[in-house]
Amino acid sequence: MPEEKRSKLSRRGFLKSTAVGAAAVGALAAAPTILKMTENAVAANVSDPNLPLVAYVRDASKGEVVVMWGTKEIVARDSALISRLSLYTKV
Amino acid sequence: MSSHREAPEISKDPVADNTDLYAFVDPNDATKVTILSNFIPLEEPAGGPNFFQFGDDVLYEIMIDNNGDGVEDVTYQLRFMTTRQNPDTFLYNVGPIGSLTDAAWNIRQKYSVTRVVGPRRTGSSTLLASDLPSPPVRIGPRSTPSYEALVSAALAAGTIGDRKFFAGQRDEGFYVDLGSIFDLGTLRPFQNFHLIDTPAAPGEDDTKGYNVHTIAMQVPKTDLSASGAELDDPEDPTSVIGIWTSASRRKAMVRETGGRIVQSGPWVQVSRLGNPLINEVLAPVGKKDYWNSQHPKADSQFVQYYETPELQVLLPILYPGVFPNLAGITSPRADLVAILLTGVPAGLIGGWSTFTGAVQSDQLRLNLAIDPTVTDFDSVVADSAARLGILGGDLAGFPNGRRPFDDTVDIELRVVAGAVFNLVSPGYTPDAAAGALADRVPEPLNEVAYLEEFPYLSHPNEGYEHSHD
Repeated sequence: MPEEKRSKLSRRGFLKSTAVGAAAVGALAAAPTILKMTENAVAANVSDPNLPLVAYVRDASKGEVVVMWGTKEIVARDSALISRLSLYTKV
Repeated sequence: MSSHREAPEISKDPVADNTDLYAFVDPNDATKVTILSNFIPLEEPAGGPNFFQFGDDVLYEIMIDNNGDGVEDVTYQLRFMTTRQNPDTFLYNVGPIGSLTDAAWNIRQKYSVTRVVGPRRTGSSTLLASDLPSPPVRIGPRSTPSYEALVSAALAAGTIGDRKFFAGQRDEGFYVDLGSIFDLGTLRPFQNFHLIDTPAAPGEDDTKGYNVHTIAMQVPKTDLSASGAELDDPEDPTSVIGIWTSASRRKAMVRETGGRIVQSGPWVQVSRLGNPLINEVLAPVGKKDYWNSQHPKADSQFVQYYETPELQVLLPILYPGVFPNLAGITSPRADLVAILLTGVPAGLIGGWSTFTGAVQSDQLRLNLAIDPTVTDFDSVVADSAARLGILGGDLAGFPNGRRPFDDTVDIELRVVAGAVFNLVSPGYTPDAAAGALADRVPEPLNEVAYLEEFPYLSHPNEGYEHSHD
């Protein structure tokens, strides 16, 4: 195999692996972190996928999102979700 | 008023607005305790076609702290569910309501009762009953001609073993000269001494003719006490329980077009009540909604409002020359802190205590070892000692629990005016007026006779014929 071709392949492979790595690093950086979970009453069918789910951005500067369904509440740090939601405010 | 419309936000949400809490050893069965928790202030009896009812989306709770830590050990939770038999009529009823199953009764409400042992939201819960009927509101001679029979049927359904539950409309049993008090602290019988004076006059019952919605329960003492045993030593701290009540709503609500409402998330407390008139009179307006959101175990944060109540400063200003000794008080009001936040320790009054420990919490404290002194609530007249509870020498009266006839306005007015400050400050001489303050000449105490048996609060005023005069 010519040196140039080998080089291109390896470069392509390098670029591919680098891209995956970057994505992984990015995913790690943006991984949602659950800060607090609350459930203060027994509620029927909290696993029901049709149960209304309410989310609001409590503090965008801290990346804090509150998600509620049933009688459960999760406060998460999820900057990526906030970024995606923010796109809708620009429509 | 006691706790009617006492905070800016809850005043806009009447079905969750706790108005009064009563708790007393039952006069008909001293092995039991009766607790009454009222909601919906100044409920107009003629409020059709959508008459008042409990909120299906509200969690109503009554909490018992039996070890003095300010945290509930037993909780009773009530949830309501409304059904409509015929959604195609605008009417509450389409004919006389002769029974709780009458087809003519369109809009009905049922409720469930859950008992929780441990913290109210995470403890061990047991469903005591479900689908208990709440009687209809009292409309008039054509719609609810046999109202007492409807209530009797609801009471029978709510009797679960040795416990009784009732949830429904009642006469407002709390009496107060509301219009006068909030006109710059005027007490009509003393208004000739007011800064803006007018001739003295009898007070008025400004809650006359209004209704409330009551959650009532009668349970064995052993359901509530820490030991589960009946108690007989009034000076034993374990004889005293703390009681408070609350209403909670779901954290999130979304109103969609078309009228659909979505609610989600954990329960959030929006109203609470232990002793009467605390959030109403002691907490400043900027703290009232916050106070409602807080748990009693954190009430030490409000102690400054007990130690230096605004009313203590106002009385000498509004009634010049009448309260010279009150005006001279410079030390914290340890009497108010004891009576309202920790209970009164044994030793001050023989055979009597409401002390639950050092934890400061606004709870209505009830000594289970003190037997009832009044068996017929309607027999209490204006000049009786019982009306003034412990100030009148009645050990079974407020602030040892609270009975419907206890004149908590006069009692708390007098206490804030320094009537018992000498108990904690022996050199203090109460002003002559402190022991005589009253908002009205209460004869009768309430415009409608209290019942002689559970749930003790009178049948509601009917929409067709009632009077606020």
